[in-house]
This record gives sequence, structure tokens and C-alpha cells, in this order.
Amino acid sequence: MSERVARVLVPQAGKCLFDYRVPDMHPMYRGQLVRVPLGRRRVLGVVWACDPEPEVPPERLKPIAEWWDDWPPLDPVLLDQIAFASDYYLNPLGEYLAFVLPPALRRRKRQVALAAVTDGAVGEHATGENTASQRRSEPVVTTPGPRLTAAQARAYAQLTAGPTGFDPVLLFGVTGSGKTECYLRLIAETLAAGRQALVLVPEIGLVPQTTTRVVARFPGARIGVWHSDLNARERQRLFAALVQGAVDCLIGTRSAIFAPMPRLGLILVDEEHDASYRQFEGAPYSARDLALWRGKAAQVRVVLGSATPSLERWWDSERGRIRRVTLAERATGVPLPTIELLPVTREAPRTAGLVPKAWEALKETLARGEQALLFLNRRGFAPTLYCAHCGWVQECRRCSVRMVYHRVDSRMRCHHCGWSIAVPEVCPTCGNGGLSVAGQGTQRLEAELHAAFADHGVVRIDRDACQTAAAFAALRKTVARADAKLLIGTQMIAKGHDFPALSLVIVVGADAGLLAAETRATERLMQQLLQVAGRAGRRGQPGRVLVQTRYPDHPFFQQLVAHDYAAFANTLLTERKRLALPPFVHQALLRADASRLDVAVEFLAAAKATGEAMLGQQAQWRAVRLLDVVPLRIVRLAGRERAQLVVESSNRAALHTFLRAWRERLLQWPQRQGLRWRLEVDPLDT
Amino acid sequence: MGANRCRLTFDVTARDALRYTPAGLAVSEGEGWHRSMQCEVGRTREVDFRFHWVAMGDVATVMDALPMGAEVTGEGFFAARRKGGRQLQLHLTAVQWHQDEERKAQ
Repeated sequence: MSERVARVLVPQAGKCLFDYRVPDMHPMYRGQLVRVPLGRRRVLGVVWACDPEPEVPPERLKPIAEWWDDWPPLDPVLLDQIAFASDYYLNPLGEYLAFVLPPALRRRKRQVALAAVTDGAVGEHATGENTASQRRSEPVVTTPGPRLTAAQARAYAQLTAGPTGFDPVLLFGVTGSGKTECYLRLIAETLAAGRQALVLVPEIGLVPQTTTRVVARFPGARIGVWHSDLNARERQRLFAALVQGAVDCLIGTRSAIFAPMPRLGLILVDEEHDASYRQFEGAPYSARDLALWRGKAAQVRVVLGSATPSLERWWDSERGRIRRVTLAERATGVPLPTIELLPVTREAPRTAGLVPKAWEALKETLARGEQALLFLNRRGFAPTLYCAHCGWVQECRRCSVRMVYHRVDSRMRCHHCGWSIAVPEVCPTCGNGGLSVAGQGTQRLEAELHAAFADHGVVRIDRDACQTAAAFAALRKTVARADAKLLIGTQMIAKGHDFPALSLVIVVGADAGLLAAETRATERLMQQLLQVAGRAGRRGQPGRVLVQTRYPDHPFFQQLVAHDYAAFANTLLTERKRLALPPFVHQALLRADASRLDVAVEFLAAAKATGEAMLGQQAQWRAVRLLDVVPLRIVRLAGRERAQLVVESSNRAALHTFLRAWRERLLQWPQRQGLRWRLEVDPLDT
Repeated sequence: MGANRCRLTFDVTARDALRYTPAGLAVSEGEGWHRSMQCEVGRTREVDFRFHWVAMGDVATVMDALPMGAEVTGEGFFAARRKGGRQLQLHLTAVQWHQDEERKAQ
């Protein structure tokens, strides 16, 4: 009998597949957890392939060090998803496996018995009563939910009317239309069928709200929570529960798409348009797109929910690639908030950045005891510190951007690289002591409003005010209980939150998004504004939204006032089609950075020349175009100067085969001192 | 260092609210009114002008505490009000309030 061979995938960058010798009689499955010798280390990995064509004679291979036989193997769909992600995003397999295996488990020196890990609760779920090791004997109890409105009932019927197996649906529901209730019913159906539901939310701050609702509806169900704030123990226990299929419903942020779910029956992606589903650092991926892939592989329904769908998915639903179910009215019967534009001129008098009408509306709302939200998407006190005498402006030493003055701890901060310094006492150029600030951030708005409305409880919600999930949850509770009446927030507050007492939303300034050069800037701004407007008047009285702008006549604002996202999306699609921009073309981005711009540009120019020379090699590559090498808008970031090159094609397959071949060529080039480059598939910003 | 020194008696005719720079330095800015008789080509002539002044730190606190219309003698230097602008501003580095003289006059 010949020796058997296992090809093992280890969670690391670079080369990550290695062959090992397997004793003749030992059972071996794909997805099995094993620890293998690698150099001087012993590493936890998974069996990727059984008996592959070995690269070296089996007798020269090392044996597998430990078989984790009491651990069930990872589900094959997840393994295929890792392979797909690696292939699609052109990044090593091992980096995607790293999302799956908990670091604590990888670090252990010796095999960990499954039983040792599984005692105790799963993650940090809300009730703390359900344990992962519980074997399900009785069906999941579902407490009755509210009666569906006629519109909801119709939408729900459409949602479930799709084919069995893979069924991608876009649930296009205006803010407050009761998408969550539809989700809960879909989950109930899935759990009743003895299968698992995966619920993705765009950010950690939304996890507690969703979890509370799911736990309340399904007492006794085993609910797991997956996000970056889990400690090592929680993460490890959750993983153990997941590989055993002992979690009925998993709620998590983007990386939860890499959770083992052997009985997967449903994937929900809430706020599918949110850019947080994309990861760019490390191994790149889009959790939303992988959700569609996984749904197809596992043959389950995938519901993408949003009031403001991404243009890509909107286009898919327009051309029938995915089904679209619409919820056009609010579940409470309360109409959508009215949106009013308030023109801002340079001369107009303003108090705390608010025009008189906005100021009056704020006063009246607070006097009635209702909540008001001021939306300003700029953290810090003021975005500019300057010297009026000589014109000096405080810029980041490492990035080509201005530093932001934070009054809370009296420091200047770079919002791009995190660099911070003490506030300079005098102008470093001319010595003038009378330095001034310009512009308005959330801290300044908070200070100015506090002076006028301290009795009403002023709360600022931005990344500086709540750096952990716990801090955010605490703030959210204060707001939900309506202890604080005046909220000041960045986009952090705009997403998916349900604040019952909120009746007025003032958008203090939004014009920057309208003027930005990025392709997706207007799309993002519309999503943001409709989302933040959607916080108003969710219960009881209809809400009111005031938007301050210098450009009230811009067609963009007319569509905003009409709450007409469909019209907006279709207008934008027509424009994108005319300009041959995504989703009508597929793009990839080659980005390079170095300590000097010319090094990066030189590399990209050479890469472009090589790429163009390759285009003739295959017929389908004729559809591929390489655009010009350009420096990034923010050229210097954290001390690195950056440039990029867009590659696009109307044919995705052609683009991908080209990118693979091109990347191989670039990898063969000698390393250039201090130069880094990466290839990004489906970039969001170009 | 080039010479740039000025000593001027003036009334405080306008003043902004005291503000602080991000580094915590007090800044007071306002307008002064100077009237005097000066000697030129052997004759005495009248001088009457209004100007901008700025004071920082302790001097700013002093300027901010003055009653409106107070007569002071200030010392300092001139600098441009804005980068590239032709308007000047007197930066006060020392100031003396003629409180006793005002009382005497009453």
C-alpha cells in the first residue's frame, strides 16, 4: 500500500498550501482541522485536498502532527468560498482561512478538545441563557410578532414566493417600512425548518439592536454574535459552536460571512448598500457579494435589504438578475418625513452654523419635548487651524491633508493616518500667537448648542465619543430612552437606528459630498441623507427634515425632497451607462505607493506598458482597457506617496483572466526598494 | 531686526468679545481712536485717526477689562491685518490705563 498525502491550508499570507504524509489507515476528510509542522512552528490548518498529485515524493514529506478528530470538518461550501474569494480578489487563500480560524485556537500549543471549548455561552448574546453545547431536542419557540400591515404581508408573500434553492432578492423598503419584521419572519421559517440563518449588519454598533430583537422573538434559540470586539475565549467558543452547527442564528459584521454554517438556510444582508461590507486592508472582500456567492453555493435564499440599494444591485434588479420586492410605505402608517431645503448664502446670518429657520425649528421641537438630530459628517472641533497673518495652515506631517482641531483633548489630529500633536501655541512660520480655527465639526456644534440648550441634554455621537461597542450601546440607550433630546451625529448615527421620539432632523452641511470628484460620491450622499432623514418620525408624529445647502436648485436635492430613490438610481444608471462607468463596466485598480511619488508612478507606467503589450495575446483581452496612471487625490498618506492605474472591461471573465496573468508578470519583477503595490478588484473609489 | 515700535495714546472705541486660541492664549481685538497735536515742519498740527488693535495674553485680559471709551497708552508694533493685505493692525505688547487722570479730570 502506498502512503497517502494530505494538502493542508494554513492561515498565512504567501505560500499557504503544503503537503503532509498521512498514515495509511487514518481517516481523512476535506476540511478536517489538523496541526502541521511548518519550519520550526506547528500550525493549525485544514485539510484542503486528499491525495493530490504530490509536489515531492511522499516519503520525503513530514507527517501531520495532530489530528483534531473530535472536531467536525469545516463545511465544504465555506471551503469553496475561501477558494472563490482568493481567486476573485487575487489574494492568497491562507489569508481568507485566517478569518475563519480563531487566533486563540491557532496559538494553542496542543490540541484543544472540542468539549473543553464548548462549555459556556456562545459569544456575548443578549440573554446569556442559551448555551452552545445544548443539543436541540425541541423545536425553536417563536413568540408572536406584530400583525403585518397589508403592504408588509404582500412583500412577505413575494419574498417567500421565490424558487427553492438559490433565490437572491433585493428588499427595497423605505426607512421605517418594517424590513426587520420581514427578516424576523424569514428567520422563523428557516429555524422551523431546522436550518441556520446568517444575518449581516454593516457595523458593530447595530449588532446589539438586531440581537435584542432576534432574541426576543426566538427565546430558547441558540443565537451567536460575531464581531471584532469578541474576546479570545468568546471567539473560540463561538467557533466551536459554529462548526458543530450548534448556532441557529448568527448575527455579525462583515467577517461573519466567513463563519462555518453547515446547516445554512438563509442569508440576510441588512443595509446592503453600506460600504462597510467592503474590506480593503489585508485580504480584500465584499461581504455582500460573498453572501450572494455563498447563497448560490449553498442553494439558499439571500435577502439584501436597503432603503437605498447600491447601484450595482439596483441594476441587477432592474434587469431581472435578482428579484426585487418593494415596501413603499412606512409600517406605522406615519408618512415619510417632509424634506425641506434651506438655502445657505455666505452673507446669511447663522447661529452655531444654523440658518434662522433651522434654529427656530430646533427651538420649537425641543420646547415640545421631542428629540432633534443634527447631522454633520465631520468629527472634531474645526477642520482647519491657520495663521491669518502669514497664511500657514496646520497640515499632517505624513499626509497631504489638513489636521483637525479636537478641543476635547486639545490636540490636532489627522483623520487619515491618526497622527496627533499638541496644538501649536504660535505659528511655526511667523511666530504669530493669534492662531485661528475655521469650519465646523461635531465638537464645535456640540459646544455651541450646549451653551443654548444645556437643559435638554446634548449628546454627541461620533467615532471619538464612542470608540467601543459598549460605549456606543450605552449612548444608544440614552437616546432611545429619550433622556437626551438633542443629538449631534456623524454618519455613525445615520444607519439603521430606531429612535422613537425623534421628530426633527437637520442636515447642517452636506454640500461637500455633492462636489466631491469620486464616481460614487453622489450615490453615497443620497444614501446617507435618505438614511438620516429616515430616522425622523418613525413613531407617532410625522417627522421633519431640514437640509441646509448652498445649491438648493441642484436636481439632486429635488430627488431627495421627493424621497424618490428609484428615480435617482435610474437617472444615475443612465448617466453611468453613458459614461461607461460601473456597473456598466468592471474595474480593477492597481495601486502603488512609495516614499516618493515618482517611484510609484514609474512602477505603474511600466506595469501599464507591460499590460498593454499583453492585450494582444488573447482575443478576449481586446475588451480590456488600461487607463492613465494618476496620483491619488490625497497623494501622501502616512508618509507614503500614492498613485493608481484603473483597468476596466465590459467583460468580467476577460478582465479576470487578464488580471491573473498580469499579476503573475508583476510578481516576477525584482522587488523595488520601498515600493508596495496591490491589485484591487471592484474598487469603490477610483 | 528692523525697527517697528509705536507708542500711542487712544480711546478704546470698539472691542470684540475676548476669545481664546486653540492653544489657550487669550486674544482681544478692537478699534482705537487717537487724537493729538503733533509737530511737523516747525508747525503744530492736529492728528485724528481710527485704527485696529489686537492684544494677546495678559495684555488681552487687561484690554478686555477696560470700560468702553477708556483712554490708554499702548506700546507695540504694526503687522498686517491679513496676509497680503495693506491694512495694518497695532499689536499691543504693553498698555497703561489713564484711570487716575480721568478721575482727576472729573
